[in-house]
Amino acid sequence: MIKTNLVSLLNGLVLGEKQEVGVMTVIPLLDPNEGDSPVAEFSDLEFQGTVSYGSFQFRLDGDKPFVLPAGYTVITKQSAQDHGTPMAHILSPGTSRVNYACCVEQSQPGMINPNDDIDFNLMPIRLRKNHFNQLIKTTSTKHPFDGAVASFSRLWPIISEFQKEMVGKNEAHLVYFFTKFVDQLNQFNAEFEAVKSQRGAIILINNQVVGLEIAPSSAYWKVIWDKLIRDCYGSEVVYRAFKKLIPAFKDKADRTVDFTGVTSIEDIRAAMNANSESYNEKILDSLVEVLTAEQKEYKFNGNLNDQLDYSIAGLGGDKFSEVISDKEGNVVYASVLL
Amino acid sequence: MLNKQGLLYVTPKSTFYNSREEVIAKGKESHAALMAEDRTLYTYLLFFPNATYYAKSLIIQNLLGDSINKHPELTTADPKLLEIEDALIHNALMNENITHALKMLTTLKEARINNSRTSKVILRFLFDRGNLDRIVIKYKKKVKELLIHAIGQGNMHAIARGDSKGTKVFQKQIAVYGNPFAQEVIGFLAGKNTNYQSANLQAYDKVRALFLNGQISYSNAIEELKQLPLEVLEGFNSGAKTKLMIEYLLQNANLSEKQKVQVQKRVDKINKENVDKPIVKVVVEVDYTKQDVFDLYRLLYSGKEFEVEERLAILHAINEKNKEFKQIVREKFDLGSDYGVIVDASGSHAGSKETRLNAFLKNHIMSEAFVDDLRSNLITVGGSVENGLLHPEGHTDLASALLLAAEKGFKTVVLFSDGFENVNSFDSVHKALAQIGLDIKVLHFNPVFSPKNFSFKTVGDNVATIPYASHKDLATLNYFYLLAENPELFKAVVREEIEKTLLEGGDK
Repeated sequence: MIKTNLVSLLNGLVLGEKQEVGVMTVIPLLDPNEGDSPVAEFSDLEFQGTVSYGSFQFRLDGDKPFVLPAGYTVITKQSAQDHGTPMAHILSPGTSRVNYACCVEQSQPGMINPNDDIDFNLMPIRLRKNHFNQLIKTTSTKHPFDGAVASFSRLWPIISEFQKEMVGKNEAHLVYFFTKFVDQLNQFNAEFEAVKSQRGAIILINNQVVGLEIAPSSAYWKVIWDKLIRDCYGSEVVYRAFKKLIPAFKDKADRTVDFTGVTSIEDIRAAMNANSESYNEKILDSLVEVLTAEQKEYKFNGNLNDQLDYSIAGLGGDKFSEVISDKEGNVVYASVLL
Repeated sequence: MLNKQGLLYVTPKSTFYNSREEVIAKGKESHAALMAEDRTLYTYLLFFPNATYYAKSLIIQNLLGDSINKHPELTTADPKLLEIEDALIHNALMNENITHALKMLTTLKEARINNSRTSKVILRFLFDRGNLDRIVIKYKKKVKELLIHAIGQGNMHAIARGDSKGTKVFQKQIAVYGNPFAQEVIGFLAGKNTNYQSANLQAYDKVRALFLNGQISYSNAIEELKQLPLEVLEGFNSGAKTKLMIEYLLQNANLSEKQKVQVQKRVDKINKENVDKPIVKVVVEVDYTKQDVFDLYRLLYSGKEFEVEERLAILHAINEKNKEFKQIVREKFDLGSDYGVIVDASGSHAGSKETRLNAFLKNHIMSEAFVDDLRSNLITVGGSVENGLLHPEGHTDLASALLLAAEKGFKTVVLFSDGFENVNSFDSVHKALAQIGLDIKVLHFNPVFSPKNFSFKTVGDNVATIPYASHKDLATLNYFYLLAENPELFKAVVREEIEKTLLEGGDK
């Protein structure tokens, strides 16, 4: 067991004003001193389709590496097998392949052809957590990520477990979930907005931190935010509401502040600010507690790179972190699921 | 049921949530429900000029398809109801753009609504106007279809032949409108060659013959070309022995103002292709003052790089429109002199791929009508400026904006927002201000309806929210409020307006 201070993830970042709607709260992480990004942007990346089951191919311009976000998933209307990768990947300039991708459309054969209309989704966090819990944390010596090529079908039972009841179908076709709940999922895009200089966020459901996300740049963040809040975390709200673990997502949060005793506009403003600051402090304290807990790091040779370091670590239970840093130890990307 | 205002915005398009068929079925169901509940109120929805043409066509279909004579209780209670229905139907058609108006009437045929009242509606629309001979050139097929639906194919040909049967039908049903070109238009539609009196039909005939006979050239028939729409010239050109270059047609066709903007991309492409050729550059001049202000903003935000003069011309045209809107606000709204304007330019107003910037531009246009000349009463929430243009960005903190409005001493606030608030609580702050004696009246205009059920967000218990579809609703916003809050008063107020402006004996 190692103890890495994950609190360093927040170095240089400032907590912004919390956005609160229904059971979900998002605290933006801002980088007011953002410099040049050490990694490439989405505009430098070209998706070149799937070249075999379990493999994505990309072309990356320039001389910087690129961070493919955890959960990157391509769902298309083509007669081709949708694919996704539950983990983040480091791509080198030129043409590169991600060989640990998974099929997320069980009974559909065929390779994805790249075309201009292809966009990407991000995987629901529950799939990523179960993938970590059931496959990476295994005590078996046949560790799927220890040199061997992981099976491209490994997400099928996880997808079925996640969505079978919700979509009423057995097949592990992730598109069923995204289609059936498109209404509810799209609502998250309208409710939560990216702000200036934002490079990350702390995401809470019912005031419990469920995720911490950090992107290499604000431009990168703008690209992934809609997908993160809708596909990753929105899906978690949909799942929990379906399982009656939380009430259905309502579009009004109780953002009321105690204005008892106010006698002026200044008093009202002070009460609002105090409420916001005390909330952020409380959340930060609870987050620090988690981020400084014991962690177990796992080995993954699929992300070896001479400019960046990748680590994946368990934080107890199904909580885990994926962190990519430069060689000086500065965090470039992080996805911490709690 | 949908909120009643939502019935005005039904369109036959699929959404994220429903297929096209589902949307159409839901729209029809909602319209039928209100018609059954209150036919008078339903009829009065035609009073709103900016309902979608599809919504208007549903209303017209329902009214014409369900004879009012089957409802004697209605005509006994209101003997003028039939007259008002007909007046509103005619007014709606005449104030619609011609393409949509013809489509609206064609749906009557598709819905198999065929009775004497429907025939009258169609014939009045076609013949009680001064430009039928111009319309029929561009919309020959549609007009013919409608004429046949109204009087029958046999009668159309009989009128064209001029026989006794045709004369009788013409005198009874069409001559009443006093259209000097009625007879020759019918002849034109029936394919009967005539010596036309109408200059438009003469031009059509002449240019068609020149194309057919291979006699069209770059030096002849220019004047007649200018009378004909581009679509007609392209049609002649495609079937001609000698074809003219598209550049020539673009340069000389009779283009509507909207078409002049729409063909710019085509013109730019052609000029780019011809840059090394000894061909005169195609120029289609656009009069921006004749464009719709929403289209002008779309142009500005399109990312296109304008020449300085062009950009100034667009901004000038926008400014002129704003002056008109400000005048409407002065006439229709009693806000006093102490009012602030809060405009939400947060990230959610960027919209989706399908509705890019729609909510933002709608808010921007509407709010300009309320902002004072020095812009001293404007408070913007979120947004960032790029290349001199405000773009939507950031979170939605309407509460802080309200506090700022209170600090500035505004007694009334006009708020333009989609209502997707996520930072602080407007409602709480509104109530807290009231607690300390600052009871600010808030009028909230919301540019976003849910495409699923036309629901819309509100921002507070004590705030009146009025959804709107476009800046064209500015003159009727107060009626929307009545429609939602007090339908009986709405009917009374609108009835007065209808009698004054649309019925014989009114002010018109």
